[in-house]
Amino acid sequence: MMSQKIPIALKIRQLVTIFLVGIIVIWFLSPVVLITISAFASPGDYYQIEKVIPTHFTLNQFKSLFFGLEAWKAILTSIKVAGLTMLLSFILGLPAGYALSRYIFPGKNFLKLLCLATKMLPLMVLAVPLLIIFMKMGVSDTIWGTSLAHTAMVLPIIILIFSSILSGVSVDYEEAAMIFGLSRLHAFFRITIPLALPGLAASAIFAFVLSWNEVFVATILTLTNRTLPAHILKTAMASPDYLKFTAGFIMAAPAMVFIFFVRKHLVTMWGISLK
Amino acid sequence: MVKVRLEGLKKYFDKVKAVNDIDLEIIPGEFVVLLGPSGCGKTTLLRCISGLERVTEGKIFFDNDNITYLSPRDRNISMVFQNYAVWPHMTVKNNIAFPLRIKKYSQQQIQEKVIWVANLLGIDNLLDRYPAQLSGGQRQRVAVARAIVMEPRVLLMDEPLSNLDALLRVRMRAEIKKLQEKLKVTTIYVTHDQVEAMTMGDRIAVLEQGIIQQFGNSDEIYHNPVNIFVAGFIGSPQMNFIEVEIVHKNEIFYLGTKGLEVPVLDILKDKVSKLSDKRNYILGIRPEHIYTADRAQTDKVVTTKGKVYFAELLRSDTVIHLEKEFGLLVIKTPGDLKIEEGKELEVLIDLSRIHLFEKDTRKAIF
Amino acid sequence: MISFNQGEKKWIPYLLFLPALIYLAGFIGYPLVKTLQLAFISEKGKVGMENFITLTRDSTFWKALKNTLYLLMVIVPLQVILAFLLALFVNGRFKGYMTVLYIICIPLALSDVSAALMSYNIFTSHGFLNKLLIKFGFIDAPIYFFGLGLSSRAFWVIVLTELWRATPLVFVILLASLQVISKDYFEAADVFGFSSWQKFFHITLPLTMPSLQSALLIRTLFAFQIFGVVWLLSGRDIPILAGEVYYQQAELSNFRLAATYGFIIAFICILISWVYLTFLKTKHSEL
Ligand SMILES: Nc1ncnc2c1ncn2[C@@H]1O[C@H](COP(=O)(O)OP(=O)(O)OP(=O)(O)O)[C@@H](O)[C@H]1O
Ligand SMILES: [Mg+2]
Repeated sequence: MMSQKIPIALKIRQLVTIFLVGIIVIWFLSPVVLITISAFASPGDYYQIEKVIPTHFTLNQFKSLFFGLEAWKAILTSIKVAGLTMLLSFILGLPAGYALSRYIFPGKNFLKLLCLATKMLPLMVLAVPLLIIFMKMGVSDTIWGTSLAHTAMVLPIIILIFSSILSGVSVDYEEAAMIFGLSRLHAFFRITIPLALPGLAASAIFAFVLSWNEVFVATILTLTNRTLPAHILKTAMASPDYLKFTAGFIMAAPAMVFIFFVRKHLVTMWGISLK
Repeated sequence: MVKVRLEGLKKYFDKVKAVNDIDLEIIPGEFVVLLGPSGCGKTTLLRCISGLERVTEGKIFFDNDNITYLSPRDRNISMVFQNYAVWPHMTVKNNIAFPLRIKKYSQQQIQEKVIWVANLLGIDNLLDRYPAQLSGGQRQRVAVARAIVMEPRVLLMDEPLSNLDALLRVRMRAEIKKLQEKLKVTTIYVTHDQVEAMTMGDRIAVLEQGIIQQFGNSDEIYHNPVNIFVAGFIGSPQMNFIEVEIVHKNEIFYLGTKGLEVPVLDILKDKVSKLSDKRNYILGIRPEHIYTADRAQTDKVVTTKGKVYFAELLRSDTVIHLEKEFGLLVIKTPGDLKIEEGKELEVLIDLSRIHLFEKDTRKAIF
Repeated sequence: MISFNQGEKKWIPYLLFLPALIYLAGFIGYPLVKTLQLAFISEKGKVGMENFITLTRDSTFWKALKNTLYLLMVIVPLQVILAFLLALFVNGRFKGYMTVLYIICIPLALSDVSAALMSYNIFTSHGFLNKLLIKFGFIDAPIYFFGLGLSSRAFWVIVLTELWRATPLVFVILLASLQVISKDYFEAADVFGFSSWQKFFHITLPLTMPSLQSALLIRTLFAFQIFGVVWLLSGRDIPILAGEVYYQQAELSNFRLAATYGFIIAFICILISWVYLTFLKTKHSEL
């Protein structure tokens, strides 16, 4: 009698789970799916109020966005800025993260706290003086200016992420390699880096995405060399609706592809970066 | 006190048969130890009894109640977890008191019980600390206190001593045993440590691959192992296993191989004479039942010689590895012997302590 | 871990950290000082609160402050509750939960600009919502959510968008903390007779409390930085603090007032962090 009750309870549980999964998937996925549809829908279909799902598709919006509104330039700028940010934060962040993960030294906790504290600082407070500084340095309205600012935003997070990734690689491997005659530097590049590679690659992508998505600083710091989000913020609102959707799609697509590659690291990475 | 009965209990994880058809009957108030090598299904069996794991097949009875499908909270059991699982956000006192509060004891009863159990386990000065502020041994006491204060029908423990250092382990072993005798609660205790099993268990169930190989008190398990697995698993160093044939000469049966001929005593003669096949037997003899010439405890022995290959000088005991035609023969003898490696040594095998196993079935003949 | 006692090697970790430290000093520390300069020195070069006085005389400042706080008070609690429920659900580890996890995390990858455009796509007059409602005959003419005089409608669209976009951030923090709770604690609770509710209130909740609190803090701080979504969906119809920084800087080129707004945001954030850190502390530490 008991044994028959259990499968029914299980069934109900399963059904509830499926139902909830359905709601979650619809809630989180539909905006993405819908903008994808709208990005390719012909303007004619869009303006027909009875037509919920468009039937005519076109690439015209992409063309006018890329060439008419010069989005290709913005995309290029975005890639350069994000790439540069990634590179800079790697070069600066890797040794710093290594120091935090492998050494005990006075002031270590202070440095950790410093990294944490900068995350509490709103970007707004930095953007204005940075513009003045960059104007003096002669890098305002350049790719360099934007990526320098973005690196300042990303670096503290990346240091903490690196430190946690490197701590995940047991120091024993490195020390074993040193016993067998490698120098510390050698051991680091030959042993630790390869072992930490998946995590490091994921954090590189993470840094890229953060820069790719950032809009406030990018808008304030540039006039002509705008990144894609800044460009869209400035121009898109004055464009017809159907172009806005295409622009939104263009911005979302690469970021989503990137995230797909780092999906295994999602929880740890954002978990650290937000703690 | 409650009787625990398992009937044809099975627990499969996909293809892994973690518990494979176990029948077991534990008498009220008994201290039963589940003993076996790593991965043999001890924890799984315990978790089935606790209800944390849903059984694949079979039944579990407490006295005459079928509790197979009851949730853990309705079974009136308690458990000491391998890594204690004392809740880190509750003080020691709350760890002990909270389950009582859930069972709707009155405030005063709870107070009394907590004090009683804290005194019993010597943790009365730790009551206001958090688990993070305790040592491993103290944490373990808290886990035990939390478990016994419930006055459970059955107390389950999963290797509660495995995380402690050697000294503390010996002390806690005695304490837990004493405590159980005092409380008289039916207890099932999981371990892979044979010393723990031998010293604590009223009866021991030896498990291997999800099957109970033997269930009996320590005397039976040690002196009358039912198969090669149990014989080999219990005792340290391990029992010597030697492949032998049965030879019949001058009305006497011998268990023989190259370089060794062991006569069978008259009392065991019947069992050997019944065997039709003469080959494929395994002779078993524990190292402590082979004596050096000066320490023979009986005259019912057979002498054999060999070169000393290696000697482990434990000082309290001496373990000698003797080179023989069939391999190494291990001897354990009390005391600090002066043994030189490479020297010829004569040893005496106690004939009343030998075991014989069928090679194919691995079952004991005697 | 290596700890060097020999005097020689002591400087190594500092050397490793130095480049990053210099960078942060130059691009975060120095600009901060600069902000103070800009905010506390008036156009005529006088040190004082003049900029703040100018600011507080402007009714937009008060509107922006009010809107920011209002947005925060609506969004943050909802987000934390929703994220906690989601995290509890996904942590149940049903079949295929990894896929669901990935789908929930998709908004993490998106900028606020594209999130705003996605919700514009749904809520605009020719958006999917209006088309659907008309198709099924619930309404005859489209409902307008954006535009002059409709800022209260736009407000709720902004709330929905922020919920969609940023709940996953909280979700991820909470899921990470749920995942590290040892299964044993729950099994012990099972054995000792806890009901599901008791397990939630006496095990799950206290053990995730530190993360819950830090999620709350992070979200509160981030709420002061909400910009893209509001700017795109309502422009300056719903003024907010971050938007005013942008407006003063990019549209009016008024560096001083922009910096003053920035300073105020930073000041509030630091104040909140300080209050949080002093008043919320858990007594037990993890095992
Ligand atoms: N949740 C599970 N899923 C799949 N297989 C499992 C699971 N739990 C246990 N097993 C398998 O069941 C077998 C018995 O495991 P169990 O944990 O009961 O062993 P044990 O005797 O307690 O070992 P140990 O002494 O190492 O604790 C093992 O082969 C193990 O791999
Ligand atoms: Mg186990």
